[in-house]
Amino acid sequence: MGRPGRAERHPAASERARRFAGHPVQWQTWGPFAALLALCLGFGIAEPSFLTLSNFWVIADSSAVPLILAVGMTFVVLQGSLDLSIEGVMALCSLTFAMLVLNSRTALDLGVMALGLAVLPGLCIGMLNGIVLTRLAVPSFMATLGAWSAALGLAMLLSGGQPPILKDEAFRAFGLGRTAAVPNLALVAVAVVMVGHVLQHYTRFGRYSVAIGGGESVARQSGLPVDRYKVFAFALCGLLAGLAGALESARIGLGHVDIGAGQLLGTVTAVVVGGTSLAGGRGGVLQSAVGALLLNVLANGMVFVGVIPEAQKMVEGAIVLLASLLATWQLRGRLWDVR
Amino acid sequence: MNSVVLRVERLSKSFAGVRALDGVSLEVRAREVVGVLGENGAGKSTLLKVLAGLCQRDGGHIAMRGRAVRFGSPREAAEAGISMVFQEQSLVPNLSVAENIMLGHEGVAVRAGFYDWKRLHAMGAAQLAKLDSTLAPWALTETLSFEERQMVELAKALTIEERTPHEPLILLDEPTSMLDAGQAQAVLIGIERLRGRASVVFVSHRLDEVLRVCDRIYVFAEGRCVGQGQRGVCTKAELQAMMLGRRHRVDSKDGSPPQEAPTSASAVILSVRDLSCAHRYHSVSFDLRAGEVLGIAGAAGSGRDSLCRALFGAETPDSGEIALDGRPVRWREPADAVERGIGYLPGERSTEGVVAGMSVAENMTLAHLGELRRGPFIGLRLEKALVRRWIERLGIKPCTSADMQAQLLSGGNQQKIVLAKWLIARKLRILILDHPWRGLDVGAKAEAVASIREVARSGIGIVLITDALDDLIALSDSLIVMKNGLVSGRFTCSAAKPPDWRVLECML
Amino acid sequence: MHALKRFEAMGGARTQWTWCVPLLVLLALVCAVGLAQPSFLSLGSLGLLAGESSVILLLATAQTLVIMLGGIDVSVAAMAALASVLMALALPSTGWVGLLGVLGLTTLLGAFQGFVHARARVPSVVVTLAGLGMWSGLALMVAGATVPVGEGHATVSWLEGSSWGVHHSFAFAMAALLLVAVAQHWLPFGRRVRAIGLNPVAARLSGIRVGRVKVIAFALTGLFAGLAAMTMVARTASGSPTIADSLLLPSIAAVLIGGTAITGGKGGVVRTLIGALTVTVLRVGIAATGLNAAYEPIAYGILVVVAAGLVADRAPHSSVK
Repeated sequence: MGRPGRAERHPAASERARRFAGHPVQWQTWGPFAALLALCLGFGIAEPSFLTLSNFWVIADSSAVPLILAVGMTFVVLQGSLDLSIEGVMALCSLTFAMLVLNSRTALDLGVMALGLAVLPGLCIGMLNGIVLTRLAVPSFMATLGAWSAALGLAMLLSGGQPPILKDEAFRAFGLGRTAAVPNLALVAVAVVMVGHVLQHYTRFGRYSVAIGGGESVARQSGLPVDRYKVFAFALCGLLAGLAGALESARIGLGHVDIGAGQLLGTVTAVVVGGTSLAGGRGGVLQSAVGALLLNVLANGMVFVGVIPEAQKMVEGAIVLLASLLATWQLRGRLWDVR
Repeated sequence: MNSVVLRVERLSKSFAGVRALDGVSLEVRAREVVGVLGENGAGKSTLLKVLAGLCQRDGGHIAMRGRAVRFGSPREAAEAGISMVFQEQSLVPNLSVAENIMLGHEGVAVRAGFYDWKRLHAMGAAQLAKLDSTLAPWALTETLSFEERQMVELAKALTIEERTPHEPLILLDEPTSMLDAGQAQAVLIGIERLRGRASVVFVSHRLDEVLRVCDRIYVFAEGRCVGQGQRGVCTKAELQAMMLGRRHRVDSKDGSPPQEAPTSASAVILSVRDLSCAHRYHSVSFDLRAGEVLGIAGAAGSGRDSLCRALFGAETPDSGEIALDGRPVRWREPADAVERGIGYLPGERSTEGVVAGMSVAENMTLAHLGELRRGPFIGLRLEKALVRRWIERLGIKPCTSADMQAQLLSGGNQQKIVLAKWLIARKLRILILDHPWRGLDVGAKAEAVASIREVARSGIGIVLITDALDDLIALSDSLIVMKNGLVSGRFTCSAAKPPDWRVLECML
Repeated sequence: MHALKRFEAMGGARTQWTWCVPLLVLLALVCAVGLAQPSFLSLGSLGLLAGESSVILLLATAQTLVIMLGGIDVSVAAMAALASVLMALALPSTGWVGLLGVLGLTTLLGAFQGFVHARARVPSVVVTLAGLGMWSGLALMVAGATVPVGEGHATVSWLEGSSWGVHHSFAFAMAALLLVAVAQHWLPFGRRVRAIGLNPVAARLSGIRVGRVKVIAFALTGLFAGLAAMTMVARTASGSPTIADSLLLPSIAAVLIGGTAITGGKGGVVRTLIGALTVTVLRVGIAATGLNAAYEPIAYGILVVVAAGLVADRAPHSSVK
């Protein structure tokens, strides 16, 4: 038995909801965004040198890879699943990329094409994740856990103990350089976020992903090809993880197995903190982007204030816990089972 | 007279040996609203499910517009122009109204995978306009009230117009059950609007609404069509009489010596005062005595299912008091109630009562493992003996089934397992039965009834919910009736049984 | 059709089948490695193998219970790493008492995770992912690098010994496993775990305190992570924040390869023994036959997915996420 909608219990909220409901950016975004602003202000007061333009670009640069990863993870989480394989995919694509451009290990020099080819393994692994989920009925966390390990192993095979060093000047310059003071990687990240936002709100893939997360059985009943869109979401996540790995390689100048270390926790934290619910159906790309920025501002600010870097991992873990507790508390009206 | 759109002849359907539909015949003409009236379990939902292609009939004929049809899937039914609005809401809560209405059939509003929101909203608004609804197509579905969501469901069902060349046949499965009289108005108006462009089958148990909106009415009872009525000709009383009819009744006496009806001298073991849970039930109060059978009558939406779950600790009431032996208690989870001697037979036996994958013995002992302990371990020999004893006592077949996986037994036997689960407790005080013989055949039902009688005789208080009104009246020592969350009537049945129609009146 | 039904009635054809398969896989692997490297099949080498498997066995044993509940604990390795660091620091000065204290701590950490999961309804993968971050972060904060154990080593060094060809750490792990097996089959706790894994709704409506059972199961993973740390500290005479980095996936693989279903309710710790041995044979075998060590994680990944897929409950009513 259901309950009357919120409209009946809070007429004022219904009116507010009506004004905002159709608009892509809903008012739930503003919470984490407000927290982000408050955090910037707080750090700025504690340590004024935090609030400089050059630091802003530093934050933008360090947020680039987390932003790209968060966009990919968002679609998977919107559907109610989870992709644990992004670290392995990053490693694999980083090695692939490093070995396709001018480098110290192979004789290849594919230039820009290398980027396109390097993300293919990520795409394939993502598709495999989706297929294992939909065909073999293996829960996503298990399928992607296996994929994480396998991808890491493949990366180790490629690396062979000798990480390939990038010698392609163009890519290195791109990875480290700026365009009109804006770090290139940040520009790529912004582009990815925008494309992600459009995908989520203006394409079938995006809207059906929200439907799958909010009511999968209803979606199936209405004839939606749910399995197909699940595979899409994982494929996209893998693709973007691959892109992140390749770009990070360009930045640090080599392909490395550990290139993605710690990114999984950071990405999940960003998604949860931003307001995209792990139960699915709620939140979105912009929300996750705000979450990713929040975490990076926190990390950056902590350095300014003098907190040791080792504490960062611990803080991230605590934040995920708190954020998911908060999210659960918000949904407390609905009783459901979790595994 | 309009042409016949749907003709059903001698339709029958059984589930696990129970006849849900037993030779039903009816017809629906163009642009008319046909009502199907009956209590829960009368077969109304099954009829709709067969028509919508959700399950296959066992026997009989279905013909649409003169041609014999068999719908193997909902899609085939949709192609023939049949669209159904389910009892459980089938909307995705976090999508907008327009998206839900057009879900899967966005047509030109989505080109090359890209959404043209303006167009989609316009399409949604157009569908809503067919029902004269002014809901905003961009509103988020979860912010709507219940009746507004029903309007969206109707609009969604109506989109089938654009997908078939025929006039649609819309099946409505209890669309107003969860609404109160005021809220139902809007939905009824919507149904009347449908008449101009579709044929409608309106299933409900609410007499007033059916009389108001339907051209012709069929009355169902126990899987059969037991009467017909015409708008303007038929009266409410006639319909009630048809609903009650002559049926397989439970004997008020089962041949055993006349039992001592619990007098007011019997101790009150459970007392409920002003129990309320928002949107489900309100200010419910009653007493339960040792050895008494308390029946709770009510239609869908009356709140009785929720109430029973609250008594067991499976749900938490918002306010009010439950007292056991005079001392107030508060259950945080069912385990608290179980420890104090309360048992619960859930309505959904296969998903909530029996743990599929565990053996019969394991299922039976699940609730009271503590009582079988030898030290910290489970006393396996003790368990075996106990299980064997109860298999014999309740007549669970096959009798060697102690180690069989529980889900392989028949429905009736599974129900006995669930019953045994509570009876093996040393100090069972109260047993709450939620539709205890749902889906059981006549024989299994008789056995279940006998068991329940025996249980009551041993001093255990019983709270009983079932759909068949006769059974409820026959078995109960006292009866409370719930309607839309409130207690609308109280009867004592020990001295003289109240007439069915009086109880029905309170219910509907 | 009748014969099949009767067979199913005896506990299910699937269960019978999945009992044999892990065992066969193990034997096949042992033969394969033995063919490539005959010295592998010597008694001494097999004994060593058993000793190798003890850490994975300990980690996997408690993980089995959690997976049988339908959840997962990805923080076991991190808890073990933290425990190893704390033990290394505590042993020299406090000996046995410190050791027990650390074990108590990891048990509490596990219980905390279980509590958050049960009460706040946060999915187990997320809670334990957060835990993974917190505990490994904590380990890094406490000791940036490997901490050697000085004089306190004697408290645990007995684990490294061998009697009658059986490595002590293996015997230790087997003893712990046996205790859990007893609990699983003969204590009400085990029945309740199975019931929750098979049908959490019915379990709750049968009066099982689902929250309490979950907390206990997760507390046990904490305890066993501590026991695993003990074994590692004994072996390497040191504790390190990265000591268990590569152990998470093999321990999960051990559970799944043994045949415990990821959907919950089916399987058990005895199967995990087979799985742990299989995983160890794989690891040792790859090293013994000279294959690139990178094949290990690849093998685990594939095995995990295949094993989960084989035993998954493909019921039409459940939607897999």
